[in-house]
Amino acid sequence: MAETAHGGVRRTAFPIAGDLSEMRRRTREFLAPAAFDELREMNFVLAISEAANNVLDHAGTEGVVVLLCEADRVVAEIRDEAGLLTDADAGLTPPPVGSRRGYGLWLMREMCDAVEILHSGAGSTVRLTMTLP
Amino acid sequence: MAIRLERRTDPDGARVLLPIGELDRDAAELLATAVEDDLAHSPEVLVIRLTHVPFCDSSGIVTLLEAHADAARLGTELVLADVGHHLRGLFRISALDQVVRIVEEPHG
Repeated sequence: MAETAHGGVRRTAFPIAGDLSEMRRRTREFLAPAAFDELREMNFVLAISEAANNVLDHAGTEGVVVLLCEADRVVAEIRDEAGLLTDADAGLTPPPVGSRRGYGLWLMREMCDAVEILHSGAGSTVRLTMTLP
Repeated sequence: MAIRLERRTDPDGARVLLPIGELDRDAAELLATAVEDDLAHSPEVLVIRLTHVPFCDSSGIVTLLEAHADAARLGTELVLADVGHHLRGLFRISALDQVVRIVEEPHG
């Protein structure tokens, strides 16, 4: 899907397929023009990748990543048609030390300025936001 | 980018695994197998040097925790070395650094 720009907002979207490294590469490419601190950009890409991991864990379902770059923030929406994402307040506490699961949402919340979990008839969406300096 | 693995032996005799690439869900199995192979030699210490790992996700964290536990069961201490700024933050947030020792290495 090609990148579009309307009223100063750049937008792109791509499907979540098996190869998340390709998804991360395209995400970094889209984010490159944004005035992002390098460490925060790495954290944001990790959070997006964690959300995509969750979609892939729901075998056989489809997902898409939508990226928006505005003047003062970047937003990533990870949409999961299966709608299997957990409660809006999941991941608010860290997993126990040494846990073998439960890191995804905790990392997203630690890495991003805002995390929203939205449910609708079309599935569920994780919306990750980073403010720009 | 698929991950590659190289092996080194440090001057002090320590076995070193050097993953090259992103430590994500696609890399987990390869790394786990490589650690298993190294543990068969019963080293005192196994170093995973993360010099060339620009990215690690929760699958990577879990793989490292499991490798560390497997090593401990066999009497080997698995340690991480050359952990960059971003990964250090990730290992702190996930509390991996409370389980697995991260060693400082002299560069040069």
